[in-house]
Parts: sequence; C-alpha cells; structure tokens
Amino acid sequence: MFDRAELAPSAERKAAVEQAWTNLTGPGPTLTATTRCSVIRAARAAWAGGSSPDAPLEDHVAHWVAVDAGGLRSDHVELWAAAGLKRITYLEIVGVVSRLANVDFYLRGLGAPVPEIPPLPSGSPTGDVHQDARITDGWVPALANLRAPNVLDAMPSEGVAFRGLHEPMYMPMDQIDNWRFADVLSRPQIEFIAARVSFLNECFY
Amino acid sequence: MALDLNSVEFGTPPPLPAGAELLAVTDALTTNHRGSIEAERRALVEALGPSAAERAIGVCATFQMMNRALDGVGAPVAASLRPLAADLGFDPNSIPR
Repeated sequence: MFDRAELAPSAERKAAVEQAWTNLTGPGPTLTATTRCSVIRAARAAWAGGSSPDAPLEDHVAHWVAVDAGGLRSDHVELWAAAGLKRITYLEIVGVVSRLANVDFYLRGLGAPVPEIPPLPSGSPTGDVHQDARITDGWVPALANLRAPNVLDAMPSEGVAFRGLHEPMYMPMDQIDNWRFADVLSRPQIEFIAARVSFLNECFY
Repeated sequence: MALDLNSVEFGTPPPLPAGAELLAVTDALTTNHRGSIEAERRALVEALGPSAAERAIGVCATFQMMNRALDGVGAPVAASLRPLAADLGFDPNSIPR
C-alpha cells in the first residue's frame, strides 16, 4: 500500500491505515462486504468529480457524505429513511465514507496511490449493533449524546475502528485536554490544521 | 493556547513555525481532490522535515474523517465550543440542521 509513497508513513499510522482498509472492505454490522465496497467506489467517484448516482440508495448517500457532509440536513436523512434506508445503515455508510476519507487523503498526502478494492469482496453483515442504541441529540442511533470520537458506538466494532484511526492520526485521547501536548508538531500547529480543515469543509462542530 | 482565527477563516499564513507551508498542504489536500500536492508536500518537508510533514498530513487526513462523521450524524455544536463559535461570528443555533 505504501510502496510508492513519496513520504514514508510512521509505523503507527501505517499499521492503522492497513487495518482500516481491511475493515472497510470486509462485512460490516448491517452491510455486506460487496455493498461496503460499492459505497467506497461511490465515494471515490464523488471525489473524482462524478455526479451522484440515483441508485443504489447506499451509493447515492455515500456520494453526498463524501462531497458535502456539511450540507446534509435532517430532511435528507428522513427522506432516505422513507425510501427504506434504516438509520443504523445510514450510520454505517457515514462511518465507511468517513474512514475512507482518512485512508485515501492520508495516502494521497504522502504521494501514494489509494488501494484497489478487492475483486470479489465477500462476507455477510455481522449484526454487531448495540441493542441499547437510540436516537439522542442527532439523526442516528447512539449510546449517548453524539460526541467525537464516539459517534459510531451504536455499532461497537465500527466505533473501535473509528478510534483506531483517530488516535494515531490526531493524538492519544488521554492528551486531549493537555494544551501543552507536543510531539514532532506543537499543539498549536496540530489545532491550526484541524481548524482550517474544518473551516474549509464547513464543519462547525 | 491561542489560535489566529484570521488564518483559519481567511487563509493567511498563521504565526507558527512553517505556518505558510502547513496552510498550503492543508488547503491543497482538502480542496484539490484530483491533482497532485507534490509541490506543497515538498515545501513542507523542506520546512519541517519528513517526520513532521507526515504527521501534519495525518492530522489533515483524520479531520477529513471527523468532519464527515460529525456532520453526517447531525451532531450539535458542543456547549463547550459555543464561546469559540461566538468568536468566529456565528450562532450555532442558526446552522440549518
């Protein structure tokens, strides 16, 4: 995956991305591996400038999460639910496209090609959905109010996968309140990047 | 810790070590989904070295994930961030959701 990278990954982030890719292209809590890979294709096509596919609905949703998540409204989610997309499956699509963004943007940033989708993805949905999940202060099932990085915890394995990227890429969660945190970057450098990305993506969370 | 909000909002280089190069890589990676960011990456490596450049790209990439996830699930602005929203000149209650 990183053989052609112009800038070498850290060992920790390399392992996180490889694990994330294996997870993304396998079966999820409500989606088969085939459907997750179709969602990945739809998101990549959206980033390549393609128009939104009308069907299947999972790919249509993936397109909009990829290119305009900040423009999504509760009305969209309700419309998709009325068309048959369960809220928990919508949440899984959000999780897949979001983690894919982390993987693909990281690789592109390093000058490496994005990985190719397996030719014959296989695997039935795992059913790994928390039975206590319910709508809280957002649009999707959750175990508590939606706070980063626990937004996928209605599906425990997806929550773990999300944090498996977030911590090595951002910082250890036990350091979040340490405003003097520094490694090869200072905390102000880290937070400037985070704030600028969020501004450009019109994410006001 | 203080952040220069003008740099965040208007894209002027922040008063940080390699601020201009960090800004250039962040903007290129976030807004240019098709082209190469080779020039911006090379300038950042020259300014900070390969380890810090790779680290910066990781932060940029993970906020592509965070932004899509938080917006996609309809997460409201946390109460603790409302003062920052005021500094940035908007009322979180006015964001269409």
